[in-house]
Amino acid sequence: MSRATTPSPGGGATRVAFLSDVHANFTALAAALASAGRHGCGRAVVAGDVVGGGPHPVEVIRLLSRRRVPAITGNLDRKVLAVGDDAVRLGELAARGRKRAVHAWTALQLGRSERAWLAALPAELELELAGHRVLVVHGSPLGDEDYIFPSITRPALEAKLAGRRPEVLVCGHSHVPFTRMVGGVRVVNCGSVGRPIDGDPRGSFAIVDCRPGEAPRARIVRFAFAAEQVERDLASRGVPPAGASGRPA
Amino acid sequence: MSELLLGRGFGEAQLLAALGVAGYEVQPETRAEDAWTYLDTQDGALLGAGLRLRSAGAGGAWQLVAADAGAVVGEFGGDGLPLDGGLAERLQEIAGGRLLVPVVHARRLAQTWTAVGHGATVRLALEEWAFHPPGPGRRQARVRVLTVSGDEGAAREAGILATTLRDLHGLRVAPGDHFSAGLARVGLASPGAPTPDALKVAAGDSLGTAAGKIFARQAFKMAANAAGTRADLDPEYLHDLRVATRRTRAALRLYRGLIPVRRAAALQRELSWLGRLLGEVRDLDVFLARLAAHLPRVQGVATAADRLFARLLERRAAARHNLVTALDDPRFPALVGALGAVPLKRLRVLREPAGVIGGQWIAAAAKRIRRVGERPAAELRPEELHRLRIRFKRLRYACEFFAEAFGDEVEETIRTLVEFQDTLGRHQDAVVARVALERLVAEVGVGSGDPAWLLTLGALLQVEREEASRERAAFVEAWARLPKRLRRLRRSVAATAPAGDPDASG
Repeated sequence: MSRATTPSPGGGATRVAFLSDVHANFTALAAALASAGRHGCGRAVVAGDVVGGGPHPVEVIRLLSRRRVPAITGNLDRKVLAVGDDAVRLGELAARGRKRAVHAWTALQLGRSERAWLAALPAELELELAGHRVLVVHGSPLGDEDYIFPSITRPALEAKLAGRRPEVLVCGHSHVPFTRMVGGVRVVNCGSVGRPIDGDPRGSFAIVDCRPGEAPRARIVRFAFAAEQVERDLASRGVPPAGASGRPA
Repeated sequence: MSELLLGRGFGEAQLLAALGVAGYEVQPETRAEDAWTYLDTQDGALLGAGLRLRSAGAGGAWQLVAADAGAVVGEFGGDGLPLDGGLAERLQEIAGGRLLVPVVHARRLAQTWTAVGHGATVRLALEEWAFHPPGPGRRQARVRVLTVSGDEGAAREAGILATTLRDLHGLRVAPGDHFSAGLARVGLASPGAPTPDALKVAAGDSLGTAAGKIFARQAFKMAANAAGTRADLDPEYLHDLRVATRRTRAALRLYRGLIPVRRAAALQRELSWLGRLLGEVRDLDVFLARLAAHLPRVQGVATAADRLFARLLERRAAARHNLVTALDDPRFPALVGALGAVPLKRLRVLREPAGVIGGQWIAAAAKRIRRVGERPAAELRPEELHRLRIRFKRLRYACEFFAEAFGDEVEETIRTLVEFQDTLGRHQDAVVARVALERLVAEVGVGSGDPAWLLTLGALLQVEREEASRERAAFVEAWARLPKRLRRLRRSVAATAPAGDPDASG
């Protein structure tokens, strides 16, 4: 991680950057990790949708793998793996330009090692940070296609947790970043690193500070990245357009 | 193939370290150094033809390289080698006998490596350019360009590596023309100082946006021609610098009422200061060129011509000294900087389309000429002709400011206006030269009692009288065509101005 301008919390405290929905946008991921470093984050965790839709799936996987960044799988990662690895079939799918074309294109880019890394990702992570239990999921504890929006109520959250009691619940998928205390659980949606859709063109991630004996704190950080460059890469690499529904992936 | 610009703090050592971290094993391949002086004509004739000429220095090779890709298209000279016939002719054809002046000195260190990793072999080429402008001074700019490429099978891997280096280390995609980037970094414009597209008035621009572009364009031209003027590489640098100050004054005049009075007055004062100093040298340049051109007509009579030239060159040296002192004064960069941010008022008017108000201004400038044009040209006195020349110049500048917004027809009209202005200009030059010669007669001719002086000056005076008379006749002939030309201008401006503008035709 690059140089820290904000000191890391001491005394057994942990400051972690939670990133989600990178969507194969290496330009944004590099900017997010640099920003996290400047904020004094000693670690980073990715809450799914590492690839899918963006022009840089290989670059993203190699960086996360090289830096040993813990990550979980997202619904798009799953779909990319699901289209298989038969190059001829993937080429046909990508050229057809339909719904799965972008997944096929992404799968075509992956080498054996990148595919293996992606396939080995767990569906969720349970972490202990300075004595606090943190649950990391992509959509919600119910699944990677479920959503947690800022309007979530206590009963709804309890239903999604189905009896589990983390102190911090980290998720992504909706691309709408927020942090809220809901029924005694610090809920953190990281938003999206690579494909922000909430009206702010900057990417977002979350910083969670955990100190022993204190309630975990969280905040959303925004960072800028060269979106025009990503647009150019999308065009130059011939990435098929993602689904036209406009819904977050 | 990807080209990336390496910024400060990221050099060869950082590159090799980054490649190691990214999982590549790197092998050095080649390393070469060379140094060149690039040359072109003052107006960038070679660049206009898509070429750059470079010399390796005394006794070294000369090369013509393609301006876009940098590939060598021809090499000649060096160590007594004869010029290649075809290339020499091509060069002569493009440069048209004009002076070739140094544009910039450039030193290059080129290194290549192969990087093996992730099942592919990628080639890396790092070119480190150091540019410094001709003339004294230690100003230097570096441009470092990394090219990442791979054979067919490795092209994808090369792209992945380039993206990784770009985004993790803050490298920028190279603009493609490292040479122009180097010139810009060292504060020089490309040969001929072509106007950047961003400074051209576009059809949809508001009057306020157009103002910013017009003033910034003149500031760009002034800055671009300052180094060549300082170094006295070609008189045309000074001329273009002077034209830019004149155009700026014309623009201030056009925009009067939309610029705060005090600021406009301050700018006019500074432009007048610079214009006077430029004018003193330029007038002597024109005078010297005229005399040189006229000498064959007075051969055998003008026996003191050498002394006359020596005296005028002495004056020019003194005038140039004053000018160079002014260009080195903080007032000059302050003026150029101020033109990049001319404040404007009356926002409502400034939001109007430039085509509408610009069209009205052009129509008004044309009307001022038309009023004079109703009189027979033969009746116009010399001072009236001079005033008319200034009016033509204002009309021409007004057209030029908005030409790109109006399109080809107005640009065609500008060319015809230039004919009138040039005829009047040549007449004015003859009148000014005559007056200058009469002054010289008063200063040195009569007092010295030297018949050679008197004969020389008298003969040249006679030539200038003949020239003034000839140019006046040419103008009288052209004058008859004026009403038609002005009508055509009015039509083309009215046709291009946005609909619903009753005043655009003036």
